[in-house]
Amino acid sequence: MNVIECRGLVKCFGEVVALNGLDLEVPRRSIFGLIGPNGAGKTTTIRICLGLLKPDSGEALLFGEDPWNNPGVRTRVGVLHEHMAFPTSLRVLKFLEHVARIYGVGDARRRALEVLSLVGLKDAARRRIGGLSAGMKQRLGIAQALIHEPDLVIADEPTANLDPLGRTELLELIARLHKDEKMDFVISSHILPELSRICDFIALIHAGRVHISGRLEELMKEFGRAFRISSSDPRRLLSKVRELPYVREAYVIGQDLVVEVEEGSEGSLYADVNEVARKAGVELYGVESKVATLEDLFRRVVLRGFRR
Amino acid sequence: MMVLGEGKPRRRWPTLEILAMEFSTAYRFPIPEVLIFLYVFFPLFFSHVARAIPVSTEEASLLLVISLSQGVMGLITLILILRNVAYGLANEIKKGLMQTYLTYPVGRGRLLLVKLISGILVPIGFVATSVLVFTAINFPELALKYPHVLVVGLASSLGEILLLGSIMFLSAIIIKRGGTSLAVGIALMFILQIADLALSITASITGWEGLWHIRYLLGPSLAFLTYYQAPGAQAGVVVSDGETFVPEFWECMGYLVGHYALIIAICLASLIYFMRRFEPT
Repeated sequence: MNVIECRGLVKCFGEVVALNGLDLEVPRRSIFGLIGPNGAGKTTTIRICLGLLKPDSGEALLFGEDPWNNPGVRTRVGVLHEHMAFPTSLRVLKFLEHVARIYGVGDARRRALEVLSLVGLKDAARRRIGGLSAGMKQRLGIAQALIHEPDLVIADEPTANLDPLGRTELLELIARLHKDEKMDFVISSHILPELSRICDFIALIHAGRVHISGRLEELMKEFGRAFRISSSDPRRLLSKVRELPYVREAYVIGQDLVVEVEEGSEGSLYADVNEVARKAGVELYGVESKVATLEDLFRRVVLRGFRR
Repeated sequence: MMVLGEGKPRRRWPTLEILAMEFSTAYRFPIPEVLIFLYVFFPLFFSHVARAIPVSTEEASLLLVISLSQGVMGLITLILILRNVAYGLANEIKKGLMQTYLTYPVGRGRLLLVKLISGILVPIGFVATSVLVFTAINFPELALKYPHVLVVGLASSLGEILLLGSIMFLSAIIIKRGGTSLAVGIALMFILQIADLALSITASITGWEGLWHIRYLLGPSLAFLTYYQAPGAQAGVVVSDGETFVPEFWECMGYLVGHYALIIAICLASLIYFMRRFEPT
């Protein structure tokens, strides 16, 4: 069973179509990254999966159950929103004790202190939440998401407001909890290098739909047969390169032409590109193979509307 | 790696935990202290005033002290409810605290109940306790002799605060903004006052009995004051056929029941909206 399953989700806010038939499956035992540009529908997807929003049509299941007004299924989930709000007049430790008891955690005070240590906030235990910095509030959000040892943590921009050291610590913590405590994570983020460091699976959302989804390693392999060609006129070369039968994608980024080829055709490109350039009357400066990154995928989907 | 999850799980009362958080936020120093002062001062003051006013019946005297002491405190209570609803509910929705609560394993209905208790029922409890205690202290003989007058007098007075509070509550859930909700609440208070006045004038001019029924339904304490002929209330109103209309006790009870049915209907509307449609911002 998947931890999250979304089928044909549609959600509109007035005239704005936030989700337009989104399908998503988050498998168990995974750190799943949701990526996409601003307004792609990531947060709306997360909020529907948490039962905060009702889809206009389609279905979202959390651990196989409808999350809307379903307190039972929420005991298994820890949540960190992008802009997490807390009762500001409460003290940090007191608040976490309340949260621990809400989830039925035994010895709430000890557990609260444990998670505060875990997120590096133990020194602020007696401070009022209203007096915490944005980064500290983010750490508090992480602490309350982890306090009941959930099966799944859903985090919307978890590294927002954290300093570089805090980001690294958080990513390490996520990787450690996934490995040692078997916690699953769904993480929405704009910071692609961070996601590529820890995620097993990703889904790339754009314009309210999932355009690419799968195991990150396989996607990188699949989209990794790319070459960067430097030339005097990449745009003129573009049309000629596209005529090659094994070329899957070709596009210009800055002064370079990026070409993706079918599996096993890497050698052919090296052989053919000189001839193609000569015929087009373009001076060739160099060809180098390029490893695909999440950013490449992101660019292809967002800028060029690629879908699979 | 620190091992989480040790310790024996306790029996869970998540709703009470959220209620405790609510109380810590809504009734922190100096709010309870100020409220206690006000709720002690005004009943003490008005109980002496009520003694000085000549009344025709003992029931009217008892009803008057309830009405007078509740009058000023009712306004304080309404302001407190308005503050709780605008800043404790609408503003929390706007700022995202409601969203945080909704991710906890607490049903939507229970969460709304927490807000209702904290925002409206606690202030009502304050004013009810205050009126009851001071009526019992200052007029023990009347309170013991006419407990039913005490009960209906208090119930009708509190019902009027509850009606306004429940409308504010519903509007806050729909509006989801503290400032706007506050403005709507204040506007509602004025609108209801003006509507009450307009209803009285129209009813007096036209003499149509139906308008008095509506007015008594919206403000049952006036019906009881009229029935017991308390000073300040109309000792009956002339209706179209030239007869004086004074509501019977059972009619007053009917207005009271109808009034509370209206409150329950508004609360149910809030509950249904919150459970089926409400989406935090």
